[in-house]
Amino acid sequence: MLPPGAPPVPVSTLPPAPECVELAARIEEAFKGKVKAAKAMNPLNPGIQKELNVFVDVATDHKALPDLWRWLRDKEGFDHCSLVVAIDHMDRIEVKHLLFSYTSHITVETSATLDRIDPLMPSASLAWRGANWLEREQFDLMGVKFVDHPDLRRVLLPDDWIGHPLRKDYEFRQAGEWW
Amino acid sequence: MAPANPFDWTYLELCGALNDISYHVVYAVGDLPHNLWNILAASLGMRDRVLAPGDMTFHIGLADWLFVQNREIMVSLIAATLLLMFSLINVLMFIWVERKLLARFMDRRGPMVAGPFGLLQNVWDGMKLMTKENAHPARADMFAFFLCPVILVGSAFAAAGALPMSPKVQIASIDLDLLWVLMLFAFSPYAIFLGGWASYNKFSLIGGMRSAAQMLAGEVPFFLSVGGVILITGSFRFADIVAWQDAHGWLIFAQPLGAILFTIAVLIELERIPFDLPEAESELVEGWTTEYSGLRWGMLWLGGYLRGYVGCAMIVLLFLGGWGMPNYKLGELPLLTPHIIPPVFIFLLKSYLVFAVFVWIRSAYPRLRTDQLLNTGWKRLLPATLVNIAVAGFLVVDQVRPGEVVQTPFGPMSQETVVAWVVGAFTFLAVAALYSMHLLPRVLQPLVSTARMFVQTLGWFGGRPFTVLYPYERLEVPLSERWLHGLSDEKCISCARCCRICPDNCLNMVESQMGQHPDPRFTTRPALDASHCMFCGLCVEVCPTGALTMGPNFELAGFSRDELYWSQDQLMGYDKKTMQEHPAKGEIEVVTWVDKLLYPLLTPVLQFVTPHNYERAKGSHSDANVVSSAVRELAGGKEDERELGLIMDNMSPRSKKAVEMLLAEMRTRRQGPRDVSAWDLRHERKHEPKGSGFGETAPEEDEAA
Amino acid sequence: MWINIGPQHPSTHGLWDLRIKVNGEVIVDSDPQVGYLHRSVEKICERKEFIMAMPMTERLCYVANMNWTHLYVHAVEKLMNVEVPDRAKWIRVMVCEMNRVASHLFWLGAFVHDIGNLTMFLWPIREREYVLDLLEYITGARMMYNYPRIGGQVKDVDDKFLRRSKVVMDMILERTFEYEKMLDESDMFGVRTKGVGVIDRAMAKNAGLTGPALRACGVDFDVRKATPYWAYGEVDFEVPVYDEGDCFARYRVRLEEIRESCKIVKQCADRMPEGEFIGKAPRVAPKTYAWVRHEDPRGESMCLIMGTGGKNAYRVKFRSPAFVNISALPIMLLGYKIPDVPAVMGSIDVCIGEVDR
Repeated sequence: MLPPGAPPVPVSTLPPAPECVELAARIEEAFKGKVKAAKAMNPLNPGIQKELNVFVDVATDHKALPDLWRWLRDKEGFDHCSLVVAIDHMDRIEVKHLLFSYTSHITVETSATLDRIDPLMPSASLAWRGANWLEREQFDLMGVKFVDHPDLRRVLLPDDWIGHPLRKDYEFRQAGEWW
Repeated sequence: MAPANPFDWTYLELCGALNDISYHVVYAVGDLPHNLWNILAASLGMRDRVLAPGDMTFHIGLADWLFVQNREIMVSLIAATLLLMFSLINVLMFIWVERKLLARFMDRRGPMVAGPFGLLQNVWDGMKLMTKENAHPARADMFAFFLCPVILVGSAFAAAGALPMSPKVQIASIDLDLLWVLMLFAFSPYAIFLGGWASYNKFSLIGGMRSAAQMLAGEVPFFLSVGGVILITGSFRFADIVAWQDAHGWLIFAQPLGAILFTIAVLIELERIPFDLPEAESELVEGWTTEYSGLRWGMLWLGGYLRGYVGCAMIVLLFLGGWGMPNYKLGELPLLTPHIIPPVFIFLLKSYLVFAVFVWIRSAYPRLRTDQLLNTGWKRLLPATLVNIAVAGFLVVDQVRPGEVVQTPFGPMSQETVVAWVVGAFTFLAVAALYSMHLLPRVLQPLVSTARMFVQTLGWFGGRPFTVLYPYERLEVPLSERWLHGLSDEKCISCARCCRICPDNCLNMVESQMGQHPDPRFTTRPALDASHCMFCGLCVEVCPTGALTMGPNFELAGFSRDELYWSQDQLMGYDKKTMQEHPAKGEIEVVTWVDKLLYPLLTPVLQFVTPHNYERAKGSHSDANVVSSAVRELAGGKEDERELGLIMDNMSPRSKKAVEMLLAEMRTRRQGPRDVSAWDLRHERKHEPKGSGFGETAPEEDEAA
Repeated sequence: MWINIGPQHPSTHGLWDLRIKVNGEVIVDSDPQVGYLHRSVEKICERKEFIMAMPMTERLCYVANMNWTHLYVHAVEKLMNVEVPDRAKWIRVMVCEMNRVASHLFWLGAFVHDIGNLTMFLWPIREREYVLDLLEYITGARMMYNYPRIGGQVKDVDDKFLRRSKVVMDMILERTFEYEKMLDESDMFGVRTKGVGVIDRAMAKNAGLTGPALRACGVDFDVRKATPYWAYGEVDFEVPVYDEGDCFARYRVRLEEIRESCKIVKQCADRMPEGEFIGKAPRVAPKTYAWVRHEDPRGESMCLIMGTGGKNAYRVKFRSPAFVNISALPIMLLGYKIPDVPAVMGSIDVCIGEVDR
C-alpha cells in the first residue's frame, strides 16, 4: 500500500509499438508454456525517451532461459546484453536481464524470480560475453549464483569479504560509521 | 713558461698557478703554529723554547712533497676538481633550461619561485635528495647496486674531462680523443643492466634489459656516424677537427646526414624522448631506476644530464665548429668577430642551443616502443651511416690522389667536380625513380610530418602562458561560486532545514554565540563541519530566508580538525556586499600578436617590479569576511551596511589587520578558556543514533551531564 | 609470469589493477581487478532522498558528472512521470554536451601523455579549462556541479553564458584541427596506435563494448540517435564511425565527437527556447521501477530506479559503460606487447569512479 498523498502508479494509455507486439507474439509462440508471460510494454511517457520494450517473465522456471537467450541472440538479432540487475524484494530476489538489438532498437527484459535463501539461475554469459562481469557484480553484491558462469567470483569487493551488501538484511558494521 | 697576461693562460697553466698558490698557502698555514709558538715563548720569556726554523719541517716537507715534487698529480687533481664543480653547475643549468623551456612549449611557466627565474630550484632539489633515505631492496645485490651509479657518473665525468672547450681550456687531450669519449659512452649499457638486475625487481629487470638493448642499438650508429668526420678531417683529435672546421667551414654543411644521425644516436644514448621507453613513467613506473632513491637516484639523474652535456658538446665540436665563430666582416668592421667573446663562452652557448633543440624534440614527439626503436636503430640508422661514410669517402678522394685531373667527355675536370657531378646525378636519379614509382610521398611523408610536429610545438611559445601564478596572482571567481558559507544572523529562523537536507550530515544547530539575538524565538544557528562538507549547495537552496549563502572564498585549509569546524562567528558577515566586490571571472583572453611580442620582453623586468606579498595581491579573499565581522562587532552590531562598507573601504591593510587582532583579543577575553572543544560540539546532534561509536563520551560522563 | 600494472601506477587513470600474464614481452592473458574505489553508492542512494542522493551520483564519474547526474534525474523523472519544460531539456542537452567535450579533451590529454607526447597533454587540458570556466559560471563549481533537479535545473542560464559558450566552442573546434594535424599524420603516434589493440565487430558487440570503442569497430550505434531523449531528436549532428577497431580509430572517433558536440552546443545556444527551467515534481515516488539509457562519453550508461512509495529509492542500479569496457580489455590485449598496454588502456577511456561505484 502506498503512503497517503503518494501519486498513483502511472498506467500508460498509449498502445505499444507494433514491432514489440509482434516480437512478444513470436516469443510466446516459440516458448509456449515455458515462459510465464511475454508482453509488449506500453511506452510510459514518449516525451521522455522513445522506447520499445518487451517484458518476458519467466518466474521460477529458469530452464527456458538459456534457450530463450540464445534464440534471441541468433534468430532475432539481440546482440547486446545491456544490464543485469538483481532486486531484493523481502520475500524473493528478482533478476532482470535487459537485452538490446542494434537493428530494431527493441529492449527485451527477461525477469526471473529466485529464492532468497539459495538464489540460483542460469548464466547469460554463455550467450553474451558482456554479461560476464555484470553477473559477477550481482553475485558480489546480492549473492545471486549464476550456474555455469565461467568465472564466478567477486569483482568489486575484496575476495575474502563475507556477506552480500545490497541485500536488505545486510548488517552494517557499527564501529566507525556514524551516518 | 706561462705568458705574462693571465688571460692568455691555458686551463692547465691556470691549474698550475692554483697549485703554486696552494703551496704557499699550505706553507703559510703550516708555518702558523710555528710562528705562534715562537711569539708565545718569546712573550713568556722562554727563550730556550723558541723553535728553530728547521724544527717543524713536517709542514714544509708536506707542502713540498705535494705541490712541488708531485706537481703533475696535484695540478691534475686541481684541474679535475674544478672540472667537477664546473660540470655540476653546468648540469644544474642544463636541467634549468630543460624545465623552463619545456614549460614554455607547454604553455606554462617552469620553476618560478626558488631564486630569480627559478635558477636555484635544482640546488634545492639536490639538497632535498640529499636529505632522503638511500633505501634499497633487502635482497638487492649491494655491490652491483652501488656500482651502477658509480660507473655511470664516473664515465660521464671522465668524458666531460676529455672535451676541450677552447684552445686554452683543454684538460686531457690525447691523439685519440674522439675514440676515448665514444668508448666512455659505451660503458652505460653495462651499468644500466647491472643496476636493473641488482634491484631484485621484475620491473627493473625488464627495464634494464630494454634499456641495454636500446643502448646497444644506439651504440653502433653512434660510432659509425662520426666515420665521415674522421675521414674528412683525418684525425681523431678534437682540437684538429675544430681547426679543420675553422679553415674549411662547419662540418654540418659537409656532413648533414652524419650530423642528423649522430644527433639521433645521442638521443638514443641519453634515453630522451622519443627514445625514453626504459624509464617512461607510464610504462614500468621508473624502469630500471625504480628502486633507487635519495642521492643515489640523484646521481643517476645527474649522470644522465652530464652525458647530455657531453653529447651536446660533441655535436658542437664535431659538426658546429666547436669554439669558432664565423669571421664575418662588413667592409672593415668586424661583425661577429671571435676575438671579443672568449671561445669558452661561444662553445658553451652553442652547447646550450643544441640542448635547447633536444628539449624542443622532447616536447614535440611521443615515445617509440622498444622494438620500433630497435627497428629504427638496426634497419634504418645503420644503413644510413654506411651511406654517409660512402659519401664522405667520395669527398676525400682528393686526399688519396691529390691534384689529379680526370679526362671526361666534357673536358678535363678536377676530381672534386667529378665527384660532385656523380653524386648529384645519383641523387637526381634516385628522386626520379621514387617519384615515378609513387614512392616519394611514402618516403617524404614521415619526414614532413616529423618536421611539422616540430614546428607546431612553437605555437604557444613566447606568449603569455595560460597558467596563473597563484598565490601571487588571484583568479577572479564568479559570483555563483560555491565555497565558504556565509550566515546572516538576522535572517536565520532556526528552522534546521539545512541540517536535514545535508547529504553528509555536516550541519547541526547550536546555540547562537552572539550576545544579542535579533529575535528571541530563534536562538540556534547552524554550525558546519567543513571536513565533511562537499559544498554541494543543497543547504543554501533549501534555506527559506536566504540566510545561508555560499561565497567565493576557497582558501580554507587549516592545520587541525578544529579549524575546519566553522561555527557562527566564522560564517557570519560574509554577505552579499562582500560578494559583490569579487566580480565574475574575466572575459576570455584573446591572445594577439602584441601579447606574444611584448610579454617575453616585459617579463624579465616585471618580475623584479611586481611585489610578491600577500597584502598587495589582487583581493585578499580570506580577510574579507573576518574584517567585516570584526568591524560590525566593534561597532556594536547595529551599523547599517552602507556605513560599514564606507568604513571598510577606507581602511588600509594594516588597519584591517589591527582590527582583526583587537577583535581576537576581545573574543578570548570574553569567552574565557574553553573547556569544551569544537569536536565535542559536533557530537551534540540530536538525530545521531546512539551507539554509533564515534567520539562518544564514556557512559559515566553521560549520566553526570 | 603475472605482472601487476597498478593499483599504484601513473598511467592507469584511476585506482585499478591490470594483471597481465606475459611470456617474455607478449601478453597471453589478463585479469583486471577493480573495486579499489568501491563506495557502495547504490546502497547509499537507497537511504537518502532523491535530491540528497544527487551529489553521490555526480561522484560516480567525476570527469563527466553532468552526464551522470542527469542520467539519475532522468530515471527519477521517468519513475514519477514528471513533465520537464522545453527550456530545461535544451539546457540539459547543452551542458551534457559541454561535459562530453570536457571529458573527451581530458581523455585526449591523458592518452597522448601515455604515448609519451608531453606537450599534447597540456593543450587539451588548457582547452578544458575554458569549458570548466563556463560551467563554473552557471553552477558555481568546477567539477561537482550538482546542477539538475527533478523536473528541470536548479538555476537558469543567461545570455552571457550562451554567447560565451559559442565563442569557446568555436575556439575548441579550431583547435581540434590543430591536434589533428599534430597527431594524425605523425609517424610516431601512428606507429604506436595503428593496429594496436584491435577488436573485431562481432566480438565487440558480444562483449558488451559500447560507445566510441564500439563505433570504432564499425557499429553505427549511438543512443542519442537510436532512442533520442530531451532535445537530441531536434539537433543536427553526425555520429563518426570507423572500421578498424584499433586505438587509432578510437582516438579518431573521440576527436570527431568533440567536434560534433561543439556543433550541438552552438545549436543549443542559438535555439534555446524561452520558458521555465524547472517543472513541478512530486516528493514521493510510486512503487514501480523505471530505467533510462543515455550516451555517456564512455558508452551506454543506464540507470534503473525502483521506488518505495516514499521519498527514497528502493533499488538503484547504474550500468557503467567503463565497467563492461574493462571486461573487454583482455580481448584487446591478447598477443600484444607490454609497451602497448598504456596505449590500449588509455584508448578505452576508463574512469574508475563509475566502474567501482
